[in-house]
Amino acid sequence: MKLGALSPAELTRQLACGSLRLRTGPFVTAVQSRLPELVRGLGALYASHDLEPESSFTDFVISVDRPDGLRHWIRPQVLFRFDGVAPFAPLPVNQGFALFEWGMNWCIYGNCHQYVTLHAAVLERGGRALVLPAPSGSGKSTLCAGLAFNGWRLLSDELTVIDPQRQLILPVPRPISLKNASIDVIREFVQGAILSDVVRDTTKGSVAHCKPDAEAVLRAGEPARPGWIVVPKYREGADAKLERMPKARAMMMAVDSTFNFNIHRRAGFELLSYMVSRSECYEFTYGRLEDAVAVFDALAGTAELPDA
Amino acid sequence: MVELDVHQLSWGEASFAASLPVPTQQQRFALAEWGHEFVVFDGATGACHLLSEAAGSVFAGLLSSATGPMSVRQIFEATAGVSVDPVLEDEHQALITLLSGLCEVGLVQKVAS
Repeated sequence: MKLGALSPAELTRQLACGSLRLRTGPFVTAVQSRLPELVRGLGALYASHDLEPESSFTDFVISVDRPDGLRHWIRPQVLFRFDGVAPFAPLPVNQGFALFEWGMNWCIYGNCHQYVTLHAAVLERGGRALVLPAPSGSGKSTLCAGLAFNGWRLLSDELTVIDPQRQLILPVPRPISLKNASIDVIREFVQGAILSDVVRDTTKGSVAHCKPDAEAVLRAGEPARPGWIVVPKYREGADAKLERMPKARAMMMAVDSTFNFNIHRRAGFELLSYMVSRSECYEFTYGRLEDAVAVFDALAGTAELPDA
Repeated sequence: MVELDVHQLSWGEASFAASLPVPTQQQRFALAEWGHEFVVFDGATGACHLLSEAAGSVFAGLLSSATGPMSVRQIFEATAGVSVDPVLEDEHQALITLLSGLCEVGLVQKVAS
């Protein structure tokens, strides 16, 4: 059953009593909330996602709600809890949906050590993954959103989750986080994009989330083989430029981007070196999203990749 | 000192250490190699070291007993007789770290200080 099949009243009820089981790729999350902002956000941006029976195995049990006490009523705040524990400081209540998204990221990279998890956007084409590792402000999510609605399948805009057993990248398709100027860029670039309300004055500036393409959610069970590792950098007005990157440097960047390298250590090293070996590695500078999409179309068409 | 027969080593997992006889040392180092590009994992610290091509070349020239050109991978497989020019310590810290580690596990006889 899809979340979008629930009426607003039923979604509100299931969230309030904590019986909602939301599937995002390999993960199932029990979500509890009485927050209207979260009901709205989930209803708008997770409509294509599957719901699981209440009796199903649950990876994360979370709640997003107003705290007890004064802050429930005066300048109200919202608190994210994981297994009843609040790992973050409370935020203003209008940031409830963004906090849910950030908390979901944390649940995965902070707890799911059966996987090797990189801080990197990842998309798929022709069965092969395009990994975009980059620090905040590099234009990673903007590029990811632009590609996700132009021929590439979104696996994740934040987390590249690798299954060490199968050496495959697992999709965790969820809303794409957009910040500041990129919100209007994507609104103009993607016809019919469904965006959440813009929340201003967060620690990241203005934030909005973009609903993932329904097909990406539908195909969340289809992993991808390594294909490309591209480090993007947005520079205003710059022409699109794709340059080969030495694999050893790509490897160091992959290691630096891995949340749980300290846990996987040697096994993680060997997995990442395999991923790098199977990928073409590039640095990419761009100033216009349409140019970037054309470059990546060409890249997908001319890939010099070994067979898996 | 450990004696290794390089022809009996498997490099399928980019690891030189799997053939070492001491279990606690088996997992210490791993090497990832792409042509003349190398990254070394040191299990003692959990750190990765990027070896420049120059460092790799220097490394490959270090083995006095070499009878011909040797790859970094072959150097990993080799055993004794290595001494390092102290000058290299400043220029190639990652290399020295690696050599020190190899010395500890008995793959390298001496690292100059």
